[in-house]
Amino acid sequence: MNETITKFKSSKYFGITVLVAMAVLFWGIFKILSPSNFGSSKLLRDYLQTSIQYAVGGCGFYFIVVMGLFDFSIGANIVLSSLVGVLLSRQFGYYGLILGCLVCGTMIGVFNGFLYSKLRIPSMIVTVGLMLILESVANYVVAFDKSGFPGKLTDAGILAFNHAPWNYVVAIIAFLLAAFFLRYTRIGTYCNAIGSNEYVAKNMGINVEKYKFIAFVLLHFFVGIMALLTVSYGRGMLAVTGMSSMDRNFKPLMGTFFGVAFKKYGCPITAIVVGEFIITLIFNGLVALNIPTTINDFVTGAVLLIIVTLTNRGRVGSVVK
Amino acid sequence: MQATSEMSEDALQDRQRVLNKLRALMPFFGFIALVVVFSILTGGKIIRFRNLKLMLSQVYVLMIASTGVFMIMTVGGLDFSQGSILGLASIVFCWVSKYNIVLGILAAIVAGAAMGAFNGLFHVRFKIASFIVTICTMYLFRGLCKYVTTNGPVPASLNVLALNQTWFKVLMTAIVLVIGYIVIHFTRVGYDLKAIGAGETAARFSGSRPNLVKFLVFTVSGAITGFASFINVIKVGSITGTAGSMLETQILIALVLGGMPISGGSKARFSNIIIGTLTYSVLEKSLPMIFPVAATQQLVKGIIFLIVVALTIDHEALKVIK
Repeated sequence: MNETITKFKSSKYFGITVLVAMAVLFWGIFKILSPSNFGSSKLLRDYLQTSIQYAVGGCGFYFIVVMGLFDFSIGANIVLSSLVGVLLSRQFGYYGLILGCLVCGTMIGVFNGFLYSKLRIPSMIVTVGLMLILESVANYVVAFDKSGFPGKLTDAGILAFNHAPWNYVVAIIAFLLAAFFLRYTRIGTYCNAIGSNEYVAKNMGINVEKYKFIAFVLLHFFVGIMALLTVSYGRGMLAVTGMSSMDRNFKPLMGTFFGVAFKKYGCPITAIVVGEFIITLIFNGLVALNIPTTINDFVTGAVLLIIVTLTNRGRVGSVVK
Repeated sequence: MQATSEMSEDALQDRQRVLNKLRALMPFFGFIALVVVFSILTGGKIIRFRNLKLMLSQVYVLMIASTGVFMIMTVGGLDFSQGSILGLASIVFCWVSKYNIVLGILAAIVAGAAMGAFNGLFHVRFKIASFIVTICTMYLFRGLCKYVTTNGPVPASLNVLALNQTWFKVLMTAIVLVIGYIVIHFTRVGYDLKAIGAGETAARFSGSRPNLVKFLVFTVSGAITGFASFINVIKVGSITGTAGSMLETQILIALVLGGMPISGGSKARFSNIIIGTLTYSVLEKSLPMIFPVAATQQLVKGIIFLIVVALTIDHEALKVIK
């Protein structure tokens, strides 16, 4: 009996049960506190639609975060890829929008991965420089848009991705792809191995540089998909400067933290998706309680810190930088 | 045969020593080169007294806060919550300054130290990577800062504006730098910081107490940023929810431009703070004079940043590049 319980506690079903229980718990708390403004089935669908865009980015982030790398240029990529998508959609409709977001996003991943591996600069540093560059390139791209509505998706005919079912279709394809890469290809195995111990991974014969490069490409491919959803939801995108795009990094990162935390149960992608949903529930719960939105950042930080503290601890005596 | 081999080994070590010294001087040469190039490109405008004064006016807060982060980075940590700490400590200063300015400074330092200790506690006690803890607290403190300013900016006592004098800000910055220099170079703490950054396990066996030192470093860094908030407020007078926003990234860029090794350790030099913040300030002030479009300024800044980092980074200090 004990053995069965121990086995269950380390299985993915336990992880999923904990995640679902957390979602139900938060839903229950806010539903009790604000029964009329929160948590109806229609609102739950809205929360889910909001959360899936971040979950897609979170899936991409997982590939590098699990290896101990980081990327500050995610937000800048979302802005740039969205603007390229919008620009191309003027000429080629859906094809332009989809290909613009995905190809631009992926190409940025190739560029980031290439610079990271060739310059041999820590990812955190190289991506700060790239964030500055990508933000400014986005400003040049938007200048090419002569439609009179720079960066805006004005054609109502190409807004299928801002509502069901196509936003779900895109997100589900992204989740399945991420799960496939992690579970059924060497990429997932090697990413985890490199994250556990890079020295050992290298000694085992894993081409660490190659897989870090692939992880960057995959990250930005998923960010490209996130850009497609983000630009569709917002019906456009604004070009920014002054590192303002950095804010966009952190919502997907929250889901990734859930993924890393539940990695041990073998369900990181599920954890990312449910984790983002839980965070969206909390934000909307606070709004329903009429708490000023200015407290959102506080809640974000507190939730992240609690998750990380409960699930992501290092061993006693281990060196943590 | 053995003598020849020893000689070549000595020669190699000498060569390595010269290379290390050159690499250490690279950020300084980079700073001089930037000043020369930008002076030529702006027709000497940036080295005019008025512009130098303007440039300096933007560097005090950055330089003071960088002193604390320098210590954190020396032990191999990172701190992304500095901007939020500055914002919240500035609010504390504004509140208390209405009663007494000196009390306000002390309150800001205590508030900064408390936030730094919070970071240090989570990092050390729960063994969570410093960059993850401080990303979380960046949001946490920023959220408090925004919440407190929901109904409008928080003003400080009007008397603090009288302190907005160049000599005063230079003096305050110099005091922080001198104390920081003495601590790093002439006390056991400085030795411990570099030892822990270079190898925590070895440092522990040689008598250092990494956990205590790291906790103290985060606390002191917060206290220093708390003090920087006082300098920030005497310049701006009142605080909004976005006060100090992006300061953490500016500090990171500045220190890296100054040659600070991201992994910390023995190659961290106090000069990284001064050279780095001055280089950052020259870039910030000169680029608008040469390129009127904000996007172009940022593009050039990003490219220069990557070039400088690529040229000055010490790959030998990075055993594993994360």
